[in-house]
Amino acid sequence: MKTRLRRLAALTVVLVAFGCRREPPTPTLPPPADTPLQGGSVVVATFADVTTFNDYQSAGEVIESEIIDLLYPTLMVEQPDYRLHPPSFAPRLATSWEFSRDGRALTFHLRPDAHWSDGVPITADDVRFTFTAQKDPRVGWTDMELKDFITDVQVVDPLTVRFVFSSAYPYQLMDANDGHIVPAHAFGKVPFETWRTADFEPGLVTGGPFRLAGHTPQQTIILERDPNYWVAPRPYLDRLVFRVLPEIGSQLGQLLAGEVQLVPVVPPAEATRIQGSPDVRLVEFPSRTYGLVFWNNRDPLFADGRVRRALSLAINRKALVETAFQGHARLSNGPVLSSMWAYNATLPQLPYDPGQATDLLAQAGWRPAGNDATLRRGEERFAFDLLYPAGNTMRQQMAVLIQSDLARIGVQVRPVQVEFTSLIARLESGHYEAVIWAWTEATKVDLTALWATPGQTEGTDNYLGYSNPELDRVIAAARQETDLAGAKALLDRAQALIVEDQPVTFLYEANQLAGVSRHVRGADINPASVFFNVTDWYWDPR
Amino acid sequence: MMRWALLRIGAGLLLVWVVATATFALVSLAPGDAASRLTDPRIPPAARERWRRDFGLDRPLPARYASWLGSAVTGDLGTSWYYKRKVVAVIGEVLPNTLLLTSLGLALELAGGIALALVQLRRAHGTGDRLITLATLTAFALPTFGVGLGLISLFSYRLGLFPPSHMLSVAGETAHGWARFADLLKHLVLPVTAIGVTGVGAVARYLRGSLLDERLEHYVLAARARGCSPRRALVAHALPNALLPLITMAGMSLPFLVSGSLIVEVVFSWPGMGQVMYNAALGRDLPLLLGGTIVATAAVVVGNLLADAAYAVADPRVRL
Repeated sequence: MKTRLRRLAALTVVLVAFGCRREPPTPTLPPPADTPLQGGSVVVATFADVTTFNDYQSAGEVIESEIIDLLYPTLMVEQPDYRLHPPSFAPRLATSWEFSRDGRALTFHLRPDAHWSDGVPITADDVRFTFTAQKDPRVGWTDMELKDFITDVQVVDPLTVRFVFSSAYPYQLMDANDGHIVPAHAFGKVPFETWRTADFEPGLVTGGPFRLAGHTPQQTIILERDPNYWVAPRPYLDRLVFRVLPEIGSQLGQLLAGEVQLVPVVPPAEATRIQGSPDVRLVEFPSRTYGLVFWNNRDPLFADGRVRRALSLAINRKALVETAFQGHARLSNGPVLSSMWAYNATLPQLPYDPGQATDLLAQAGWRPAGNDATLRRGEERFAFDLLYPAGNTMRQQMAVLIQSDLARIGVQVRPVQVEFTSLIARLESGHYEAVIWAWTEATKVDLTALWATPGQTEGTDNYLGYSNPELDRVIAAARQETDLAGAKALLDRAQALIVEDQPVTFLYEANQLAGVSRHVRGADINPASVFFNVTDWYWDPR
Repeated sequence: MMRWALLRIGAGLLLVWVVATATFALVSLAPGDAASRLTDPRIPPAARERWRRDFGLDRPLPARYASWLGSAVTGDLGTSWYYKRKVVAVIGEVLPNTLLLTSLGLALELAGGIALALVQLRRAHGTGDRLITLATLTAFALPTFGVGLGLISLFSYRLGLFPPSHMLSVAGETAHGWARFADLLKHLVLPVTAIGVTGVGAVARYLRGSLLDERLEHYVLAARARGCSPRRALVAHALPNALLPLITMAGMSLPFLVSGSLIVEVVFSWPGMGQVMYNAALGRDLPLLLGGTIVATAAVVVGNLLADAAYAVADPRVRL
């Protein structure tokens, strides 16, 4: 599922939780334990309102993507099994699918019983219409490039649709599946040239387990069970209510008071308080977010690989991760998450070794001189600004710890907070020395955007100015390798090269914490989505 | 009178144009743009460049300004880049919510401040006066978010009397008539109190000082000499004159009515202008920011006009 960088603003707010208890609807006959009960509603806290319910207007905010996923179907459901292999897919709108011999045609067979919320059947025409919207530049879908290798989508019959690819490659299923299917008979009435700004909300026709029952801007989104949904008796819940609560303290206060039943992102500093409540359980799972220090590789200060390695050795990363995350993260040591199939388990974990760091810096020409204990190379002092996003207390804490660690080897660091959008602009333009940053990995393992030499394709996320021609070759080969073992070997090599070069210092792999009422049963909250199996959730008042 | 009104309106329009142009320049020159925030890992990096082209961010600044101004003078404030809806529609959704909250907060602030000042002046420099001064100054110095959280902690979570957030409960949003109105009133109590409590100190201080001066004026002494009771001399004679500085203060508060109190809106999850404009600033949503700026600047202009007019009504010596 879509994710984005999340800033966990750990505002400590002491709210005493009493009273205001919510009375959930109770079914008339109490069935035996562990049998899903029909009815009930769950209130979910969200930081912001959605801007659209149309996937092709959305800029991919997490909660917006998740609500759209509750309202519109995809052909398949991506499974959170990427620890073992690239993610597999389970049926959703499609019951089955097969590739042609040459691997360039992919045929989906659709459910005959799938209907839109207005009762109109969901057919292959809807899939083809969706594809034309995805590719149309007037619509301007943010993920349009993901469909670059799909040349056509053909309607074979009302329940069969064929995707034609320009070539065979490893992530064809994922690319075909990306984007939700939208109703041709309803959305088709709006010309593509007006899609960017058209308001699709009035009379919204949907096709998911829930449909839109109400939306008060900046306040509440009410989704109700769609009786047309094709997997009866699911969903069990009658309603999912999203309440906008922009402040994490309010979210947690209302969770503990029973006004809210799900807070999707709980800051680590608040974990103990949530665990102490008898009415709420804390769900913890490895997220796909990892933290790192970007060293600007174009800056003469960090151009030398020995210097970057020395800085990594001189930061007590284990203590830093323990302090900032209070045990809710693990140490990171490479560009692929340890929870991914492609992770190279043989990568070395750099130790905390200020002595070795000092030696490496000396080899690079940095030696103590003068009275202030700061390392010097000629007239140049080893001093720089370490930027982090304003208001992010965890990264502020990390910046101070890094400042203190590096001061011990004679490197002067000045932590500087910068407003988030300005910080991204500085990263994009290369006007920085070092930044504490976090990145959220997609489930597709592709190292191109972040680590390949910039300028080879339009757009890059390689703000480091890092370039290693051998790495570029390995990454390009891994992208095209259809054999899993072959791809893994290439990705192992790529990770080793990056870790050897240390263009960044890898800090942590964060866990995501969610607070859920104990009355919400059957929820499998996992890295794919908080709402991964929402159709199986039920409300148990016991 | 007519000439005065036309001149003031002309100057007001000029001010709106200057402020909007300055906002356009400041936001456009600030680092980062609306596309910078497309950081979803599934969004291909090329999408950012495409997005900039689609929204005209790659065009030269003067050309972008000319297009915006051309539309704005015809009343079209454009489409919000974030909400993908007309700026007027987005502002129209949240402005009434902010006006409701802030006007009630301001009314409480003024009424409370006037009442407190009158109570204080019953025995100026007495124990009651000192205690009220201490209490109102303390409230004035308290951070609004602290007061808000304190109110929530006590009245929502401990006593369960008032809801801790939002403008309506989930049930209230679908209710009609009296039930909806009652639900709204319950939700208004705490945020209005948070605004009122923190602002009441300033009003009381202003008015107390002003009343202390007026009390010794000859016309008040003359009223007392004619047998007017101390209370009547204070309320009927001194108060109307002492209120003049408050008219200016209330006029200056009009922008607050429109732009809202961000802190109160965040703490109470109130769906108002403050939150929308804050997010627009972070996301560099230029059309929405400009729309909000125009509305707020217009409020300043109108506020000053009304304050001047109110002065003329309250004080016959003032001629427009």
